[in-house]
Amino acid sequence: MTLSNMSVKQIGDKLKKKEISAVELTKVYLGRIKKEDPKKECFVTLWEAKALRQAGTFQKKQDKNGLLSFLAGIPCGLQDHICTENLSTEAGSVILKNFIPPYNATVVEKILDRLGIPLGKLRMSEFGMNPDPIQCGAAQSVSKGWTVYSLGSDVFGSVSIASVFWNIAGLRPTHGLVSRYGLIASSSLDQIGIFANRVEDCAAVLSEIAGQDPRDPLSASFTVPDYTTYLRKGVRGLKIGFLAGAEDDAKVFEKQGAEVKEVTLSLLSYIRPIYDILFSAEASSALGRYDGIKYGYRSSHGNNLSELYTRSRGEAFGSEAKKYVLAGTHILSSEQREIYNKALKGRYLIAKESEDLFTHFDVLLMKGNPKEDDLCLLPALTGMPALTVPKGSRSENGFYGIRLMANRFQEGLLFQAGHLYRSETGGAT
Amino acid sequence: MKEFETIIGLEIHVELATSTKLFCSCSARFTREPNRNCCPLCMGMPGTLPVLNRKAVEYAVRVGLALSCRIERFSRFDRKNYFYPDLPKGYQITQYEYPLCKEGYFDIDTPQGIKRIGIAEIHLEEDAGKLIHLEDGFSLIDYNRAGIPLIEIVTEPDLRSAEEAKIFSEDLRNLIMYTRASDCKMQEGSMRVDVNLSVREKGTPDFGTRTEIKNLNSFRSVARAIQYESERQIRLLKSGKNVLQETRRWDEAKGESVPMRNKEDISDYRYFKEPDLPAIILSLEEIESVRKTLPSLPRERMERYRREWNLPWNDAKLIASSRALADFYEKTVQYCRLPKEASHWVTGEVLKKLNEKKLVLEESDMDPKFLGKLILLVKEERLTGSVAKKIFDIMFDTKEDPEKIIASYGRITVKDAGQLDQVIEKVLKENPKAVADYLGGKKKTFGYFMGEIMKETNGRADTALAKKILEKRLAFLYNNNNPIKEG
Ligand SMILES: [Zn+2]
Repeated sequence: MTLSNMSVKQIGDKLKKKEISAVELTKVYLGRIKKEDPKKECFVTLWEAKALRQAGTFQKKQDKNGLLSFLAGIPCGLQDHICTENLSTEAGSVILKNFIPPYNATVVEKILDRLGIPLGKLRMSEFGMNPDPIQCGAAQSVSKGWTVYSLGSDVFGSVSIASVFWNIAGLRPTHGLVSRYGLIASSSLDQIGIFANRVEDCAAVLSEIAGQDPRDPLSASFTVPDYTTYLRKGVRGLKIGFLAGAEDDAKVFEKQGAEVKEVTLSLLSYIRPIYDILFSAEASSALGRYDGIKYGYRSSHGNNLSELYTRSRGEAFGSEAKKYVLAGTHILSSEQREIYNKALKGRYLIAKESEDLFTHFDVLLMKGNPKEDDLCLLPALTGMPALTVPKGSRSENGFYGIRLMANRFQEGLLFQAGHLYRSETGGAT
Repeated sequence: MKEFETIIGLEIHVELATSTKLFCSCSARFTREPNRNCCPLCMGMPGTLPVLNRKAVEYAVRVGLALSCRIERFSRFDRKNYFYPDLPKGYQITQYEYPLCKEGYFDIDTPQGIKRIGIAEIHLEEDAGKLIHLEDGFSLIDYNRAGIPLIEIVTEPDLRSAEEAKIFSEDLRNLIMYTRASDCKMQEGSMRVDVNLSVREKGTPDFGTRTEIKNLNSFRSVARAIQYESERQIRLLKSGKNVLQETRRWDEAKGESVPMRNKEDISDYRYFKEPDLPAIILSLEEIESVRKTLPSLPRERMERYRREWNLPWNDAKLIASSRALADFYEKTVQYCRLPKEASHWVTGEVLKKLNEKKLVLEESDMDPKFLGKLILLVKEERLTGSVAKKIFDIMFDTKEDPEKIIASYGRITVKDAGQLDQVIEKVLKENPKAVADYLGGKKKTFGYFMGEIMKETNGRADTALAKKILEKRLAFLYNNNNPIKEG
């Protein structure tokens, strides 16, 4: 059975027509993961029993009610900093060794409620602090065909970087659109993202996991549309601003009736230092809860309280975490306070510039990049959504598709443009 | 000789009486069972997010309004970062830069008259858990208290003596209890007072180096610690030494304060805006609707009692100090229209009885209408004072209408002149010596006779009538200079 390149909708149709059962499908996926990832390099923990139970429930419910949701019966993966009830959640850090949350993240609840099939937890760098795409199990799992979609998080632009690297689609939603409850974040800049083979899968998944959550005070009251309805709208009449380097991609849109125009961002060079400062500051505080007292790793060498703290944290945190904790502690100290305040001000100015840009344009187009650059941090600083779209076929070497950005809550525009780009460049739709 | 003056500011933490915690739905009620009221959020588990309890904001605003503060329409939370096992997240969510209430004041009654104490700010924050240190060196943590909403009231350095600080704290406690924002139980830790104190030579404009004193568990400790600390600082300065900026811990048993941490140890809390919570935005309508829930406050009531009802200062203050007592008093007056008599009863019998039974007014279930009725019965001379007290005792226990009690306990008063005359004749006969004294000019003996008459009638004699008859009889004896013979 070749299921690996099918979309959420295609699998859904097969389930609906009972060409395949959900249990069978789940077993196929689990079997392949066990065979192809025997050392648990991508799937650090399998949620096998839960996945099969979900599939069983799906079959019972299907007979009664028919299909309920895009996500029903669809196998997926969760990066290991998305909390899963009674299942180890370590966020890539020794400090959370053997941490088993007694609660599910809201996105997990939503997937479970919709009878989705979470296959297990995916590898990540420590707290996702290193955007090295090799370490991003969420993107890898999709690219390998081990999941239909995976949820990960965007830290240091990792959704954009990893999806380009693994040649899949990746969405970082607007701040407040997807609940962050149960996401083990190091900063408020971190955001749950969606990885899938196709733009339309990102649209389908977002339609199900978005929405206001009483457990996340920053989640927005916003009526979530069915984003799949945007897919075939085309780009006629859309105003698309593109940054240098994306000229060829702009032509793809122009040919389909979009107005395209090159734009520049004057504050581009400030993006990374501002992100670094804000992230470090928040991370130094957010990681304070890992103290060896309540859960996770505790050093056996602490003879007094202060030693217990320093030893537990010293032994368990990796170099990335230590780097940001030290930098953040310094930045927030009363002597260095100006740095932090300036970064806040800078963030405001950058967000303002982006907002101004979107009064003239519907979508901002950039070249895809499998490595860290400054632009991949722009969505986090502005709270705006971004979609990475792989080129339908990788014909030219080193060409990795595009990144699209839109104003807050304008994911629909991203799907519109992204889906068109994908089909125009020869991708399966 | 140099004269010194003590400058005191207080920081008062008050636990709000909300039913749930500040950022989660765990119960905020006091319980002895450790770690009973806990959840992933208030135990600092990763991935949890704080959700503000709006009730806590409302309670804090109530206190802010009662202290004549400016209620900020924009306020927000900050993180105060430090490590301690009772602090589950490694930071406390508090308000640092933009507190909820600012620039208020509170007038207190000092022996020198009314004094206005400035309130710098009131901010909202979460409480920490509690450590229990075992004898074997281990410590246990109870997170029941972690996340309970607190307000911190910060005064201006306007207090000048232990006595003022004590009066301020007590009056503040009464005021907060009035707003029902907290039960202010010091022994359960729901009200905690920290003292900032410095001394300076009288007449100098600059403040001296201040110390902070913590662990004050009663108003008495507050006063004692201030006395101790101000003497300690003055002694240091007089001997040419400097006061160190430090935090000191009051030891009530020893009656002294000991250094807890000095300036170098005072950590940099690295405050910054809490990124997981939106700002608190209050509309004028919201603030006004909270204002409407406030009752008339102690000072306002006290002044009204003095102005409109002519109560003496002490009684007015005493009645107004408790909302329940003041409400009860006002309802009594509403019924009997006799504010003086009502105040007499409320500050006398009512408080005496509550003390005796170790009850608070709310628990006693007393009906102010019945007290009003009783007062009217006395006023109409249908009851003597002493009978009324007896009826009151019964009323307190049975919660019955005084009329009903009287009906079941016989006639109200002896108003029958013939019956009273017989009693008086008997009393005079039985006390020939007193009669002789009276006739010899000792007019005070009259009171003695009245007492005896009351005794004979079980207190039910109509005072005015008895007095009239007694006067008549004594005048008769005097005129005839003919003492009644024994027999
Ligand atoms: Zn809780």
